[in-house]
Amino acid sequence: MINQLKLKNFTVFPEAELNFGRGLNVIIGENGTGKSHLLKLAYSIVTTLAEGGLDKHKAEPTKGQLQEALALKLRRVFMPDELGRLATRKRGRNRCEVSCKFADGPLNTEFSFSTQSKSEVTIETSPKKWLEKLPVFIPTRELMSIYPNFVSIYDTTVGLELEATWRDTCLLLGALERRGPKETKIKEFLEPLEAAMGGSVVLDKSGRFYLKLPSGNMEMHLVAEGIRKLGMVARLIATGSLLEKGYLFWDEPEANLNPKVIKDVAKTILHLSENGIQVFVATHSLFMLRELNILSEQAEKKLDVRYFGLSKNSDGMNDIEQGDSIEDLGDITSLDEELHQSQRFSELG
Amino acid sequence: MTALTLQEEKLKFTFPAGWIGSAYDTWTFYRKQFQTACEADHKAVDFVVKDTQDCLWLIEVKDYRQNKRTKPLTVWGEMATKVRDSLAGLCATKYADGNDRQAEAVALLQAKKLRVVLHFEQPRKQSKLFPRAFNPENIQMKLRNKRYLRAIDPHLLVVDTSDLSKVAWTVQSVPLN
Repeated sequence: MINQLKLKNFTVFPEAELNFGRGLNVIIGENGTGKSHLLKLAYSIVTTLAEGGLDKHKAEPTKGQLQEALALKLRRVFMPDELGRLATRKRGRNRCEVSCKFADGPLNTEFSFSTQSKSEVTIETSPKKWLEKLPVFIPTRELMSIYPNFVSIYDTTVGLELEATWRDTCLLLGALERRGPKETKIKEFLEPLEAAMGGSVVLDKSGRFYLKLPSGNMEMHLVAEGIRKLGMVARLIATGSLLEKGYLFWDEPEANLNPKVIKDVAKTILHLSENGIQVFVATHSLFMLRELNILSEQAEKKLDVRYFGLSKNSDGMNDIEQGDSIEDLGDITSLDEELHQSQRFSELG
Repeated sequence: MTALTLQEEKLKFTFPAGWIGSAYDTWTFYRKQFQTACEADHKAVDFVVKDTQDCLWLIEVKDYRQNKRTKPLTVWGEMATKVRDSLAGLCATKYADGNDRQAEAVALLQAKKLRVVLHFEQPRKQSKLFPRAFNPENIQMKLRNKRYLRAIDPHLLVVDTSDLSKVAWTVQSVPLN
């Protein structure tokens, strides 16, 4: 579990300290305030620590390994022209510093790089061990329909202008379904999702995903986009990526969904965060916020939910407010816009 | 014991027996002395009442059924200012010797709890997209925000005559012209 992320001069953040909850972390803010940057940064760190752990023969992390691995991950996830572009620009050189602290202390990682950096970061604090499990990043668009051969194409094509999160998530979507003692738990997790989708997700021998319906299999391309998003989550649960401990970063889960499906997505998010997954969600949607609020209030056990409000201050710099309730944040743009719309409507003749 | 009744525009509020209070913005001390104190144009909530459990209620009434809103201020911005100014005004009334409402202010400020309520009757204008011009939940959420009234009443309520289940008083519409 990530306890804290501290930033200095990272993209739009001159200085920031985010203290995360072990359950659900909701990041709110209008466009350009850095919501996706936060998700991608945390994801880049966690996934670098987990990718190193995939090689069972690898010894504990070294600074040498990490300085290149972290830089490469940041470049592939953010896709700047050069790594140094991720450091806040100002006259002369500037240095960006990032500190990521985990509940499991030996994973703590601190690094820095300058506006001149090209392919390496400087590791200030090296983790003493690797993470055991790859995190999940769900981007704004669904990936089931582009899945076939996507990883092969990504890995063998030079200069492909696509974020690494797509590649990483496709890789996880193609993992084998978990069998054995966890199957009962997986079934229990999948039931509400399959009820919402009206069927189950299957990966055909041809490498394409289908929605298995009582009437037969339907190509994922023919299924509504919202259902494809639920399908991704269902598949990631079935393969064990979103089971028990782990990390889920979900950028605008409401994107392209109607309110009915947003309700199902909100339920899934809460369910995962109740079951050991540390979830990070960036959202614009007041409807989604309200669903999450209602569900967390209804939960039998008090859920660990943290809210982060991102905004630009009068100097044009980015501010972060955080707290255990939505009321701890300042203005919420989506709420303000609805209220102002009401005001405009009520002023009509 | 007679029940306290207070009227604001076309809405008559009847409070349970034993409640005390009055229409704060009619107090002479407020109108003649406090309203322009500190080089400010102070605003006031409509009613200040205290229940039998020693809770002070600041109640603001907005009735847009007939008249459409014309003030440039937002409903929530105006409400927050009114609550802040009324608390200051109540305190000043308590300590200003010889004013007509000093005893009442003293009694009201013996309360041990403070609650804030916005009684908000919606504009009559509605449409399929706006079944109600304002979603009361939106206003309530905004007012409970720390930039508005969270520090004063984190459980502030926005109610109207269609649902008064969360408050102890009743409200009757005086027939509209």
